[in-house]
Amino acid sequence: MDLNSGFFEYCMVAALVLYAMSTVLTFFRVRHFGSFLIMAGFVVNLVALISLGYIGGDWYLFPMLDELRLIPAVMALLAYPVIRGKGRNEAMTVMGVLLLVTFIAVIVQTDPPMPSIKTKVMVASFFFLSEGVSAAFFLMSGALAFAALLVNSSVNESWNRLVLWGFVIFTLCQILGAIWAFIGWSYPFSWSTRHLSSASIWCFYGAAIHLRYVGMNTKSKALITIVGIIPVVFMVYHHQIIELLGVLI
Amino acid sequence: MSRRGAWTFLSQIKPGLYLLLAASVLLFAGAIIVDINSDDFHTLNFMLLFEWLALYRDRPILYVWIFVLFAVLLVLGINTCLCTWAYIKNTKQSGMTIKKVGIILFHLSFLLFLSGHLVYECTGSSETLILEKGAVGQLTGTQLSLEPVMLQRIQLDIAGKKIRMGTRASITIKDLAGEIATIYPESMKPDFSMGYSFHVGMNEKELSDEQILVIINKSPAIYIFIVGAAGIVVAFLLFMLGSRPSSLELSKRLS
Repeated sequence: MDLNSGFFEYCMVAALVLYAMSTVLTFFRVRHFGSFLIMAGFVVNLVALISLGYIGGDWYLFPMLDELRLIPAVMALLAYPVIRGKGRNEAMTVMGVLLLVTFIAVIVQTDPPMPSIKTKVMVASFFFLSEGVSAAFFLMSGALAFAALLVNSSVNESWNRLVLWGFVIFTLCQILGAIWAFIGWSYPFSWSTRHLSSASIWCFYGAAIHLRYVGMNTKSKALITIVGIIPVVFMVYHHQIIELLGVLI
Repeated sequence: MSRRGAWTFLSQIKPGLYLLLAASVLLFAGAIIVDINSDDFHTLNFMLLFEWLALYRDRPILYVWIFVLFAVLLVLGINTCLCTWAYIKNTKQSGMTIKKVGIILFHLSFLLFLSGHLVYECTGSSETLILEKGAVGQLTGTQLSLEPVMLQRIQLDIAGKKIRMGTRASITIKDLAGEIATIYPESMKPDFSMGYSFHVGMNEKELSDEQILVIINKSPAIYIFIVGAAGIVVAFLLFMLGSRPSSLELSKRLS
């Protein structure tokens, strides 16, 4: 039996529906059932990821860490406490971003990742895991900063913790990436779009975690955190953006 | 601004923050330039920066951003040194904690990484060779001779579909002094001998079953990267230990 053919796509659609229902319930302040549905969506999203690893009767770790489908799962986990919290604007913004990344994962036509030479080492799997998790942290921090701007909040900088831990995980991701590049290609840093945009993101969030020490106002900090979404989106959705530009031009 | 003034200015966090943002913008611009000229930049992975610059000196669009980036990173390195030194002095007065040690170690490791990149781009050697089983291949740059004595293609059978998973090899190497060693590199699993690392190349499509693509690399920067990476991992562990809420805080939160 091969779970891979189409099963994960149905799971992702089901996860999207559950996230959407959770968003509607959150909007109508039915928080308990809304948070239950987001967890249900997370479980279905997780099943989709695990099913990706079942190829030809064997289980492989690498395909389970497909970034496009991993990011919504991590974001759903991060969104859970936000939904249960008091801020409706925060919850709705976070759910909006979650719906968007899940929608992209549903509509993008990509073949499920297959085992290959490049990914036969464990470090490749951990690299994609850490990159996906940190990208979810950064996207979520941008969403929370956007919500803070909407309500013109001057005290609540709830995104700071996400930026800090996203940066920690992303730094480990850079180390794993360097190890992977060295053992596979012989150089720890490659002059490629992927590595340079990764380095750009690292420098950006390196600056973002120092914002609190320079006496900048909350609005400026929030704006900078929102801008951080641009290189993250470019890194994760690079191929899709290029394809879209090709169609538009 | 006087020299002392510039020194004082550079030992603050604010310029460091702006330098990081500037580096981020330059790297992002670089990512787009590389995306458009990917073939030209691919060669830089196997060449020293100076050699590559000589090759493309009539196309400044390809490298101007690299010069600006290096300048920004140089000033950022100085800023990090000064800020870390000031932080250590302050910490000595206010009391050292595990978290603060982690923060100091992280900044020092970052400096190591920066210098590692500089060393990597300016020193060392890298050569690629297609070797034939039973035939001796000579490398000009590294003065080594290599002879593959065993080659084995690795394949994965997934539901009847054969997927190439690389090559395993046994290669006898000999240097100018006559020293002989046998290495066993494999795709994604380099072997190390005589101060070099031996990698099996990925691009096997145009090779016969009796051929192997080998990349021989030597750079002192690898050791700097290893120390830097270990430093960062330890720094994060210390930071996490130091960020742990105390039992008093935990009981407060729970209640």
